[in-house]
Amino acid sequence: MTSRKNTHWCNTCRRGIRLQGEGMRGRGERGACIHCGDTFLERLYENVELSPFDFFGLAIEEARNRRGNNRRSILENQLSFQELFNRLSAQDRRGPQPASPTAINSMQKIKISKKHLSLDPYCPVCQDRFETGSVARKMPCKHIYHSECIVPWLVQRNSCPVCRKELPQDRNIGRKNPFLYLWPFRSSASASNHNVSAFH
Amino acid sequence: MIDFSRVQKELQDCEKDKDASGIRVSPKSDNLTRLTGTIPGPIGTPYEGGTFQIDITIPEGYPFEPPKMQFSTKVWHPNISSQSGAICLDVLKDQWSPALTLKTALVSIQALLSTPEPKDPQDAVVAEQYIKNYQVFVSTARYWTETFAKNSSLEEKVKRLVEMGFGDAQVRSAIESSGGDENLALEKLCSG
Repeated sequence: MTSRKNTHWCNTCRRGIRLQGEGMRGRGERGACIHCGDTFLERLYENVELSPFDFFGLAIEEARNRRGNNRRSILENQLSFQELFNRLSAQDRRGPQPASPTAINSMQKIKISKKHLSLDPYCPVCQDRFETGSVARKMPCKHIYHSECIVPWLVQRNSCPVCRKELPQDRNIGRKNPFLYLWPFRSSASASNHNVSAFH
Repeated sequence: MIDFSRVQKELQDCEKDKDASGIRVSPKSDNLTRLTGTIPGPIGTPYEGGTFQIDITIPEGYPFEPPKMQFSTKVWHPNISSQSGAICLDVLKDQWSPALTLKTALVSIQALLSTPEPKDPQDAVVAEQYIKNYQVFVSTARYWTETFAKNSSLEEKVKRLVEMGFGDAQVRSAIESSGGDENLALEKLCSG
C-alpha cells in the first residue's frame, strides 16, 4: 500500500485532495474539487502524505496549522475579496448544504392521484391544492411538492421542508474515492457527510 | 419574488382561528410586505396577560427565506433585545423551512417566551440576571409586561405617569397628543 500526496485542500469538504491529470484544468485555470466540484481550493505547498490509516485527516490539519499565517493560497487562487467573503459567509451557515443537482434531477416524479389528495391535498410550500393528474415531485421521505416549489429550496439547502430529511448524497462521490474499499462499514445513502469524509 | 398569494392565504388562515390561537397577523401596508403580528403572553409566565406586537417584514425570497420579525412591544427576555426587540430564534434564521408559516413562526416566538434560553442570549444583561438572580428577572419581566404589553385605561396610564413625577395636566396632554400610546407619551414628557 503506497501513500498518496495531496496537492490541494478543499475548503468546502474540508479534506485534502489530489489534483492531477484530469482533475487539473489548464495552467492558470482554477481546479475543481474531485468530490464536491467546488473551486474553493488551497494549494498545499509542502505536499502532505495521506496515509490510508489517517482516518481523520490529522496530518493535513497539522500541516495547515504549521503553515500558520503564510497562507498564500487564497491570493494564489485569485479569489476576489467579494467572492471570498461570500464563500466564507456561506460556509458559516449551519445546517445542511445544497442538494446535488444529480440528486435533485433524480428525485421521483409522480402523477397526482385521488389517493395522494386524500392524504394531503396541499403543497406544503405554496399551500395550493394539487390537481389530479398533474405531475409533482416526491422526496425519499414521501413528502410531495410541486417541482417549482421544491427545487428552488433544495438548490439552497438539502432538507425536506416538512421533516428535514436530506436527499441522498451523490453516489458517484464515493466511487471516486480511492480508499473507499478500506472503509469497514457500508455507508448508507443517507449517511451524513461527516461519516463519509472522516477517513479521507 | 415574494409569493403574495401564499402570504394572502396565510393571512386568511390566521384570521380563521384567531380566537382559538390568540395569534393575529394583519397587514401594515397594501402590498403585504410589512405586517404586524400579535401574540398573547403565555399563561404561567411573567408575560401572562400581556399582548405583544411583532413587526414582520416579508423578504424578497419568501417563503424560501425566513420572514424578518422583531418585537415592537418592549419585552424583558434573555433571547429578545430589550433595546431593539430583535429575536434570537433558530427558526427565524438557519432552521427556517418553506413549510413553516408566519403563524408557526409566531407560535415559536410564543414558545420562546415560555422557555428562555439564557445560554444563547440576545440580551446579555437580561440573560445574566436570569441566571444569577431569577426572582429579580421574573419581577422585572412582569413589570415590563404590565407597563408595555397591557392595554390599560386612560386613568391607569395617567396614574402610572403621575407616579413617575410628572404633573397631572401635563401627563393628560402628552397621552392625548400621543394617541393614547403610553410609551410615546413618556418619551414626550422626558424630552420636553
